[in-house]
Amino acid sequence: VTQMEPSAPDPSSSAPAGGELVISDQAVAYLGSAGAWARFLAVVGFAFAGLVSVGLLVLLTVVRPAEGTAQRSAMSAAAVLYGIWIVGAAVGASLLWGYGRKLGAFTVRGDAVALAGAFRNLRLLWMAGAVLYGLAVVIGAIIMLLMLAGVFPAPGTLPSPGR
Amino acid sequence: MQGEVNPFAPPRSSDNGGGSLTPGQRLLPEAARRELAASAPWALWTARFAFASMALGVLSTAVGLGRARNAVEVGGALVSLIGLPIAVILALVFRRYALKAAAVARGEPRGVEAVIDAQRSLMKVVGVLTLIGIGLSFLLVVLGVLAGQAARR
Repeated sequence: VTQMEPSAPDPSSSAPAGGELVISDQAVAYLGSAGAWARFLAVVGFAFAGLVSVGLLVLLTVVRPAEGTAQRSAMSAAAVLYGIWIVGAAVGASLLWGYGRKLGAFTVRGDAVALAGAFRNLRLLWMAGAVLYGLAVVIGAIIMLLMLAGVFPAPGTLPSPGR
Repeated sequence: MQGEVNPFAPPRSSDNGGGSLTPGQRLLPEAARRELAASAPWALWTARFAFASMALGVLSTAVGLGRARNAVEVGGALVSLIGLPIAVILALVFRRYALKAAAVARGEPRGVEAVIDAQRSLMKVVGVLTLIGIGLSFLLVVLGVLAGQAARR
């Protein structure tokens, strides 16, 4: 048996003797603040999804589908875009709400399992966000190339009468 | 001595109460550390995409300005720059978070508080940007209603 010398813990250190990482009381306060902002963002996300859903319903019911094929295609494209916004906002808001709720469980009750769940929610949110952001950038790059090729008008410019 | 276990040490729990923990400190569960570490590359990719969208916005504006024929078209081209500051801010906060999460993945002791602080500032920044966006949208709606009323008179 090795003789262990008693030593006072260093309050500034984040690692106890076992090498485990610890969460300081300051970090717990940070988590409380992050959870509050996350719940606010979740509420905004749900509200946004609801508003866009109403917009989609208006598009599909009140605004009657036009007769022409081009107009129908434009309506379908708009409906698909609305659908992506609704699903994206609802999924993001759900993940954020879960993150905030689980952080609350950790900061109030010290539920360690909830903390891992909160960080899992955050990882899934970053994953979904990165994939969607990447898609948006790729679509933006394609539009840019088409703009440079003259297929699309440049932003702010009106198509000339000859085009 | 490192690597040797004191048999007389008090038992440790997974959520709180390690032998050298000060009051208020809690142990970071291993599952939570793994999740933090796994989130780092995704946050870094988000930061990269934000940088790419900045470049696209600048290029798009340059093309628009190059083809603009009047003041209205110049204004229209400059509208593309609205998203630029937002992309810059998002890129920076996501990059900061990713670097701190990578430090936790490497097991750096001081990384935990830093990554949690980065998480908090990320949520706060996105929340403040959202509040600004809601405020601007509300202002635009009010201005639109006022302009409509003025046009009817």
